[in-house]
Amino acid sequence: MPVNAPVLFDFIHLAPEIILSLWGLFVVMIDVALLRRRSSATRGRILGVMSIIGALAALASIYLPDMMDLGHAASNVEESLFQGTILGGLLVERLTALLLILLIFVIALSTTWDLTEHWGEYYALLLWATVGMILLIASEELLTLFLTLEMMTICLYIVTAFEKDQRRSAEGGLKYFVYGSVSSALFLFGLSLLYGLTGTTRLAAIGLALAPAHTSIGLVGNVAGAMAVLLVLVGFGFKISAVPFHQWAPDAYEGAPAPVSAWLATGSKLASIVALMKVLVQALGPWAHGVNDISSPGWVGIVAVISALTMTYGNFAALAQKNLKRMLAYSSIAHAGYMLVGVLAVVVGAGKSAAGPVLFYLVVYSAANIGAFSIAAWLYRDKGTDQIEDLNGLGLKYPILGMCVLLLMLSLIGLPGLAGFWGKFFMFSEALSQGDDRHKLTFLWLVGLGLMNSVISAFYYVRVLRAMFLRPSTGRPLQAPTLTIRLAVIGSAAVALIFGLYPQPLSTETDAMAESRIFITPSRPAELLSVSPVRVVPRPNASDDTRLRAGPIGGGPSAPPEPTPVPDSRAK
Amino acid sequence: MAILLILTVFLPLIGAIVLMASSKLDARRARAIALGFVVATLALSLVLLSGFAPGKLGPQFGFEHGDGSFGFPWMGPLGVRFALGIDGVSLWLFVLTSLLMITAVFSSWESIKDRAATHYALLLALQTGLLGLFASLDVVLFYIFFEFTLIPLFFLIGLYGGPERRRASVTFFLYTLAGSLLTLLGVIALVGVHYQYTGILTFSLPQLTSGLATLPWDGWFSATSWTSPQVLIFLLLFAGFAIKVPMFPFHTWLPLAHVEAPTAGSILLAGVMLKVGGYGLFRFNLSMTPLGAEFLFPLLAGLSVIGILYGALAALAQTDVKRLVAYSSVSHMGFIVLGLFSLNGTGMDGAVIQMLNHGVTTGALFACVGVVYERYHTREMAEIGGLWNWSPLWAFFIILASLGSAAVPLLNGFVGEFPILLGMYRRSPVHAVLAAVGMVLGAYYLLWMLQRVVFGPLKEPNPHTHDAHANEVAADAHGNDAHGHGSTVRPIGWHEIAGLSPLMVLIVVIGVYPKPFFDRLRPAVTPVVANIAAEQERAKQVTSPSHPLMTKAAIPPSIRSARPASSASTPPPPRGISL
Repeated sequence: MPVNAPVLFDFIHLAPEIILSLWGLFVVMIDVALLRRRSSATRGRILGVMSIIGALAALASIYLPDMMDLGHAASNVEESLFQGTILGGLLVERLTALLLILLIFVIALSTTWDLTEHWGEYYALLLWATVGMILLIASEELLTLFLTLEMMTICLYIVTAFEKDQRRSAEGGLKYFVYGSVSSALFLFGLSLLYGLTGTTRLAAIGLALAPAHTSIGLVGNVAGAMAVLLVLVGFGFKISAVPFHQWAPDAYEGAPAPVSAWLATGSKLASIVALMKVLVQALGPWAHGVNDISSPGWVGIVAVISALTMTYGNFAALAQKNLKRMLAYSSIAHAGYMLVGVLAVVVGAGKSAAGPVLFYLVVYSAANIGAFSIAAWLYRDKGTDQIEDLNGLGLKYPILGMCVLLLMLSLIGLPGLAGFWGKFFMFSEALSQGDDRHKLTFLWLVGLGLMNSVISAFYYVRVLRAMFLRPSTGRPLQAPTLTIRLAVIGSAAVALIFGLYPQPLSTETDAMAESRIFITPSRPAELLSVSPVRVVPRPNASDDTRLRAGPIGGGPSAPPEPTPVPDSRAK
Repeated sequence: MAILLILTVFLPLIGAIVLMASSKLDARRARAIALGFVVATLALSLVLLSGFAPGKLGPQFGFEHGDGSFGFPWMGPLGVRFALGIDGVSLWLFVLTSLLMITAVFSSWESIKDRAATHYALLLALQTGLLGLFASLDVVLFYIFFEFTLIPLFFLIGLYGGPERRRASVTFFLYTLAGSLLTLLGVIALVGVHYQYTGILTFSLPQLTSGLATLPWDGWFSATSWTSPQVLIFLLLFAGFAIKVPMFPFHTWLPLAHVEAPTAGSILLAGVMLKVGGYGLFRFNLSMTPLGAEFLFPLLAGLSVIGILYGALAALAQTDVKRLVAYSSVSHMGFIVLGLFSLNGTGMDGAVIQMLNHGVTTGALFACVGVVYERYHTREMAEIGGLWNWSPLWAFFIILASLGSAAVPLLNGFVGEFPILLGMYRRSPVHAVLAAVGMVLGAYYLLWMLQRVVFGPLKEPNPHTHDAHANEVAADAHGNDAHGHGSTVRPIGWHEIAGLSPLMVLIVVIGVYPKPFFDRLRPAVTPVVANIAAEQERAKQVTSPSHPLMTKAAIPPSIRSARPASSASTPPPPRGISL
């Protein structure tokens, strides 16, 4: 295969992204050309259906490589595309599918009420934001990472401010944009420092370049490195709305139309967390902490502090909220804090499957949030507000939806028997089982704090339930929900219940995804530093007992089981 | 039989789903369906009881496999199993739950008219939670059922309770949830310790219990400070169960929840939910971290005695009958915990049988109070009196239940509290004597209550004032206050007699002939007691000055690196190399 020339193979693997991008243009053109004379509501519905068709086509195209039988059954090998800048394979495929399914729900929710006149642009921006997310998950290199991150957020800035007649929408969008652009600038500066220090933009190659010896020493005395790490964390902290970079989130979530808030809380957060995990694990792994000491200078300490702050602040701030969307915004901040605990476990832990619980949590969390925000959409459609007290009496009037919301809220609290519990359980037990005893002490505090925070979170989730079930309804009653709201709520409750009672299929799947790529230890540095368009590495049998085994992976005979990547001697 | 157990646990849930799906059903049909399911569950429980082999060690009806595991794999890689089975301790609580459920359904027979189907569905769902909890042989399964019970109770109190019901239900929910998450942390720590030192990742209760009892790690058996592993884990586990019991400083949710709950909710709360705390203490704290209990004995026994005396004194000060019974529960649960922490066979036997006794008597007392409240819409002792004249049968019921609760010999309370005091006396005479004072106080407030409510000239509340009160109270919860009042109050109904009679029979039977009860629970208690003695012996060896653990330099590196995170004396980590 010729080096330096993207081949058809690469493009076929990018089919979902390509289809979504073109479909976005197509939707805009249809809107402008054919539907000009229709009413806004009609256009919203027609274009919504069209966008869903596009998303479905993209969903189907994930399996295009399989169908065309290109010789590489996509689920059995690792592929890096476009000279290793973009990743293919199980992890990306599954996450793409997840994002597209979430996108379909978001688009469907958008048709709930007439939130804008510019439907074509609205849907196109949603589709393009999704392209950004998918590529962000797949990016293997700093420049691609930055570009895709920006592609995602710029589209999201605009759709946040899309409900133009609402003041709060414009305000939220502006805040999101101002904070976002500053943090992007800082992020870019951090990336440039990283490039300056290592001379490469490849994530895996950075990891190798940073670990010149067989021991990693963290960031001791390394001012430039510390600067780079901090700036990168600022950038990601903004995207996942971690404290203290979270200020935009409550305003943006509250101001944005409910479907967009849902997309901010699920798609954007999901993609950013996965990207953060990749950068921290693959590129910055050697800087995690000093030799055998988790509290020596390194970013583990920083991330641990951010995580603790994020979950605590998010939960306490959510306690004071009266607006449903704002409460959900703070709750999503808190959930980012929990997930950072999981991310830390991946880094410190030796097992590649350690990322599985984080992915599990992301799936469960995203599903629950889609359901919760669709309730907000329903409220807004009929009452024009989304206060929690508007929910009064709703559970008794609509018992089935009430039951579903009950399941969702309890799942978000993390009550056992529901998916949210397993998310926390897997993630926290993974954290507690990582590393040696000194790591455990750090993790014990984090996990203890996480559990305490779950109790605090119960206070505000129960407030929703109290409004829905225990209070008599006040004011104008809500109209029956649309089919899309019903589907979204029932679907997400079903996810919470089914994976709550039987989490094994999902956890096996997420473990396999994590195993497939996220924690790959570069074992053949020579090959990696040179250009290798297609790396074919056999994946181990996924049906192995993944959780208990901590063996090397990646095909390299000398891949070490240590938590930090250690290159073999050929690196020099 | 093993299939029967699973069926028994999930039969009420089927009933709950049926009733939930037909929520438009009128009260008559709903209660008939609920009664059918409850009676069927009781029948199955009795079949299990008759099939229970008294002398057998270990859980029964549990699909036991050759390798000591039970049930079926549920979450493969984690080793979580779907394992149900009952031993002597859970057997009686299991049967008690099924029995009290009948009382609960009968006591809501007339009083619940609005949204009756949902009410009975919640009761049945709660029953599945409780039965499953007592029958769980897997800690994760136990925890799931443990938390699941919160949800139906939250709605039972919040939808069908008294005027303060919203506050009561939310307080109850959050309070219990807070404790149970600490318990979860403790459970994870137990599993983690077991995994680290034996290499076996198991969530099975019997396996964990036996594995932790013979853990190849000496540090586990030295409980000499607050940061010793057993003490720390004991405290974590204790947090959730102590709130459930409730022990003295954690009891504040109880009066509110009991008073606001509908009668059926109170019966189950006091009768069974509180036992969950005692059961958890027995199953986890005493079986897995007994040295923690040993170390914390002064604190635990002190809190129990304070609880006994405080509950009794608080009960004396009440003017509301239901509140009085609620505080009496705090006092009586103190006895149960005291018996458990006596750490000897006598005391623990007494504590376990007392859990059954307290469930029966308190359930009966709440049901009796419910009968009165349904007719008079008041529970103030100043407003009612001489009810003997209204219904001698009701008076008989409440007198017998009170006497049973006051531990009169030949009734059930005596059978439980006497061994508890005896066991405690062996261990620490001071605590036993103080607790005995609580017993006297118990007789005092119960008899005083009887004097005011049952005896004397008939005094019924003024129909005008309580009608207004009833309207206000029942406006959105009950919606029915169409009973005749005055001197012609409706007599006690057949359903109320049917709900209370079995409890009365049990009060006498346990009091007169407790042997069959002890015979079945003893095989479950004895190994725990034996294990406590063995661990104490091992602790002595470990902490003796000649043992290598006491001389720090002699710790082999393997042990040093395997020290758990909770240990405070971790060696200082090596410094990182600076550039």
